[in-house]
Amino acid sequence: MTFRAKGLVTEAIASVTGTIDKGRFVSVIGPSGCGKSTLLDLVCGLQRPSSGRIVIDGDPVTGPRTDTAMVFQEDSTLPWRTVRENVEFGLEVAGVGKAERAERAREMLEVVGLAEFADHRPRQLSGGMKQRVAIARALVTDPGILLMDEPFGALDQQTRLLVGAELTRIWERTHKRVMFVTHDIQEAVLLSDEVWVMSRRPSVIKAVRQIDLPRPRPAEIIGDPRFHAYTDDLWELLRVEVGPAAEESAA
Amino acid sequence: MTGARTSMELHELAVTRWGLRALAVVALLGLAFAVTADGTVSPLILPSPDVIWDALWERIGTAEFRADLWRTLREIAASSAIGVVAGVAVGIASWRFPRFGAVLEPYLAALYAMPTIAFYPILLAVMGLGSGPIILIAAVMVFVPVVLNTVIGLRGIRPVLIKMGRSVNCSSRQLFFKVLLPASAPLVFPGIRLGVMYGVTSTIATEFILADQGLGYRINHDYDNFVIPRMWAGIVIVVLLAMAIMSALSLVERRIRSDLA
Repeated sequence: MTFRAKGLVTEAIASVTGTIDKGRFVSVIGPSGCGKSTLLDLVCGLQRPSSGRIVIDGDPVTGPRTDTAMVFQEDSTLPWRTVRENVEFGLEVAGVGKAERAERAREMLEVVGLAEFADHRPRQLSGGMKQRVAIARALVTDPGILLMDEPFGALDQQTRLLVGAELTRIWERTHKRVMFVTHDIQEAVLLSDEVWVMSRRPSVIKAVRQIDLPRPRPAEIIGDPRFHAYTDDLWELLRVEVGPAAEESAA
Repeated sequence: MTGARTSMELHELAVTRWGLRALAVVALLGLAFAVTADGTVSPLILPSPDVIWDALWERIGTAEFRADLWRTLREIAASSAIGVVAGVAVGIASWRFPRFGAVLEPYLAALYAMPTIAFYPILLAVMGLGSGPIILIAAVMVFVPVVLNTVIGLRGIRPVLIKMGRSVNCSSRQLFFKVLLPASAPLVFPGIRLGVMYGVTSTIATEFILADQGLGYRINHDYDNFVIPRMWAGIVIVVLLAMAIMSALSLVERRIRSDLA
């Protein structure tokens, strides 16, 4: 997947160019309001760039497509559907038959560890569990690219780490291309193969860092000195974007 | 995990609820028997319930009743269908195009406050003595709360649900039936219930004023002719009809949002 998006209507993004190879987990970090979420919306086809284009496996993106799936920061489960029916949603929309839907949803609920909650309603679940339902809903259509917009942003720190570790485990099994937006540097290093650092508006990608930490990565890796080297480096890149100096030059 | 009630507990609650409802009816009947038996209330105002009961059975058997019922049912069905479909459509339009909504809303409020029934004589003159003017006035009564609640219901949908629907490539039809409708149902349905109730009241009332047939017409006709037990039978029939319509609406509502039942 490659894309170039320039001068959006919102003027959020000045120019962003990047490529995500198959099977790579890429995180995008940047100061708040820099257009990280807009970038995801563009890749998902929910918004159109005012110029430039987004290309997935050779096809330009003109609208939502079946090979991308998005997990949102807010709870996106449908309260009137059971957990299983929520997971089936994308398949149902795509016209997949009832039996196959049920089977694929069951498998995916196994993967995210919610098999026994299939007939529960979302309101009976915790915030972390609802996000796992959303992840299962996104993965069940077997998309080539998983887009995640701060999916753990609304969770508390502990749940965040646990669901994050869970996501790495799921990712290591499915090896999807992932584009993961976050403002949490630790989370980005823990999960990713590659981290893109966006500048403040008008945004550009000012740096790309490869994260060469061994996989599987348990949550304990955050104590590793190499982990710290990565987070320190990224923090240094980000600090000039969010610090007082950044506000001065913006004023 | 929030405290979900077991099905057994829910069952017990339902039994208690129905028990209390039955008790209320029995108490009311008892009171009616008591005040009519000792002459506290004149039989010209309220006959004894067993007299009404006999009148009710007698009335239900007649062809005249079937014609009245059919006429009123048709009027209610037509006005509800028109009011609900137009109300939901206009509600969607004013949600989708906020400027249109902003222009429309004060007029809707005026329509709500105005005694629409005041137009009945004019409509009678224009459309003639039949179902037409009755359906038209009732449809307006149904329309207003449906529009208002549809707009509020749609505006209240969390944007992320619509975004999620679009992200999985829903067609606009799918987005409407699988996301917008169920998500706004908790507000749209009370609007429909309220509107249909206003529509029923309006239908009976306009029949009451001037008509040649119908349940409302018959109540007034019996009143004018001092056939008080049969007038009361007519009232009982209207009450039962209204309850049946409400139950049917609740059934539809529970099908769409089973999680709220």
